[in-house]
Amino acid sequence: MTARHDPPATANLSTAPESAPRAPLVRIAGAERRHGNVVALAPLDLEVAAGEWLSVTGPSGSGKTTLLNLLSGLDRPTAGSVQVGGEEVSRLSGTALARYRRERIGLVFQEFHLVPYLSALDNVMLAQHVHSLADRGQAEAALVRVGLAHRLRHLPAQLSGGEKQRVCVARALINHPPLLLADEPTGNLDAQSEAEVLALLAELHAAGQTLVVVTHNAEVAARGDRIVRLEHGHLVGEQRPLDDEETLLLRLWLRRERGETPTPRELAGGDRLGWAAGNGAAPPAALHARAAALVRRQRLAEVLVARTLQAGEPPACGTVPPVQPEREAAIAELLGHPTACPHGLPIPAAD
Amino acid sequence: MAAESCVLARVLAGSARHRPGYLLTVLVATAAATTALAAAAGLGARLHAIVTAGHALGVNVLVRPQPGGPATLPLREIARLRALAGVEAVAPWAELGERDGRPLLATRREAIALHRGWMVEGAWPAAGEVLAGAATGFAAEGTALPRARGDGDPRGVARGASVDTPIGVRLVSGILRTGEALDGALIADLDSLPATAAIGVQRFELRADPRRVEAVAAAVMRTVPGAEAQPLLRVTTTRARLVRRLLWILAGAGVLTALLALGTLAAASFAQLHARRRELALFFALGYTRAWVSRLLGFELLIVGAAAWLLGSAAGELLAGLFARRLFDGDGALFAGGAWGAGAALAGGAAVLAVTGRLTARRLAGLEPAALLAGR
Repeated sequence: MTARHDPPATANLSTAPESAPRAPLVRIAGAERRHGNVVALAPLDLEVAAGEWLSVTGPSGSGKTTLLNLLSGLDRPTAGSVQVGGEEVSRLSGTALARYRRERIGLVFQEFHLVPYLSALDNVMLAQHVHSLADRGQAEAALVRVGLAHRLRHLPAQLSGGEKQRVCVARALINHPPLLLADEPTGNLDAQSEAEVLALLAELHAAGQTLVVVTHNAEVAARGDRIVRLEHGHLVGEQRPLDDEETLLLRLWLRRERGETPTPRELAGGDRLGWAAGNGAAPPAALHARAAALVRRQRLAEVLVARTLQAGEPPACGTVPPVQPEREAAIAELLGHPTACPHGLPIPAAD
Repeated sequence: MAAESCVLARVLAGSARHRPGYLLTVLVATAAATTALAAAAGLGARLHAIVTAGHALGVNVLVRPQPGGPATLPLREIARLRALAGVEAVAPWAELGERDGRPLLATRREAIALHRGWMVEGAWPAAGEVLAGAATGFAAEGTALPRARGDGDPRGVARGASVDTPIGVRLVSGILRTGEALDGALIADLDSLPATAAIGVQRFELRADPRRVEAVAAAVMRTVPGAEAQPLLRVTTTRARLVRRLLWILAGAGVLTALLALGTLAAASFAQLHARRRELALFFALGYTRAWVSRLLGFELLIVGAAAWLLGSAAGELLAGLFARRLFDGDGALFAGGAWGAGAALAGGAAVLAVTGRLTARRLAGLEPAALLAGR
């Protein structure tokens, strides 16, 4: 947790060896947004490194979306500076801001904001057209990449919420922006669609995409390399999930199980623990036992929560805190020693 | 490049499919304005053509020999009459006698243009030729000529036939369709007659500036010895006043309709901006400039405006033609106004759409994309 005038977050990431050489892509210095006497965002200092996933959390009205609007150039700070890629966004003219948005920014919205009378493919090509570089092949490839090869010609009204959001992601990425801004990207999605979209964002992050994700969902926020919390326009806290060894182990285990590539930060964290997690490598024996125990306790917790909810959707995979070690045996007994979590993944056996 | 154009075309086509009510409102409002303006301009053009051709307002001063004096006036007086201020056209008429119940008259070609609805079928007579007069079936107003009795049939005299006249046998070069004025008469070209200069003229028909008819008549009396000038005031002032009022009414109706159309379009466009606020905000978020979005909206208006212009021009021309027929007993073809009506429709429609586009662009400039995306 750091107060708003603490030194930039990336500078504090002393335990993350990969953070030091990375220059910040985003540098916010004393940026403030007021509407008359109402403070939407109090003076804020924040940096986001290239390739980082920054989660911004907080209750409604805390200034999350205002922060995103300042970063996207849809709004201007009343004071302070917002730099993205070395460009002072707050000083750009209207035309230069439009250029900035089309070249530097990809936006994903909670409400999707797809043009209702255009097909999924045309919605993506619309983002290309602004560059006068509309390329049907590239747009199709972007939609194929987000798993919508069979939905190219469908109108938004014919798509599910998750599919709409994946179109939105494809559109945001079609021009290869260095910064992807997502405002409650899973806010209107069911659990299944939420998992799909989060997996997509995780994949992008693993490929080196810088993400700033605004969410009030703690499970979504936990996917980030860093979580900042806003309240009443003030930055009131900062967490680094990957600094926590257990979180890191659980993530690397899940990545390996799903065949996903860990992000550079996760890889760096694995190296720190002695697990070279690249190319799906298994953890060393000593670490394996510890990781398996963690995964077992977490998946028991997922089963417990899912059975408690009964008809409700199970929580997103890998997001429920593990049961306490001293209660593990009793809970396993209570649940009848399940062998798989609610998402179908195996529960490692106890030693 | 083709793909880019296709994207834009699909945006426009999709947008049109998505909001038919709005486009229909734009189409109807613009078409109404262009129709009113085209009708006013078309009718104005017809009136102008009729007036300048001496048709509708025709002869408004009749010059005859004074009673008790010589029965005719010298043809050479035509030069003196033409020189008078306010005189626009002069046509001499000479009566050369009668044979077999057919009066023979002589005049010049310009006399035809002074009479609304007169029409020559065939050729204007050369030396040794005459026209045979026949009624067209509708009343001729404003003529000062004596009416020969007849039933509208040139009585067996067809083009190419020979006919006996007081100055010998002549070939009929054509039929002169008039009201009842010259039914059964024969008309020769004054200048092709032998010893033209010696021919006495029974009357000169004058077309004078409608505002100076009485002055012209007085000037004729002063200038031409032995002549009596009769202003045909009843016809000219009534017609001139009617035409002026009509044009004012039409112009006023056109402007009023254009203003109403402007109000309707502005309201419809503002409502559309509100309805499309999130879509427009998305364009901004994707990096499109306000100018581009303005052009997109303007292009939509332009396409509908072009359709409205075509509709309005055609409907306005049709109305103007029908109106002209009704007012002037069949003068002019239905679509004779042409360029004036279409031009007025284009100018009016363009003005209405330009003002609407400008107002819309100003409102667009005041939109806050961030607030719109948030649904505010």
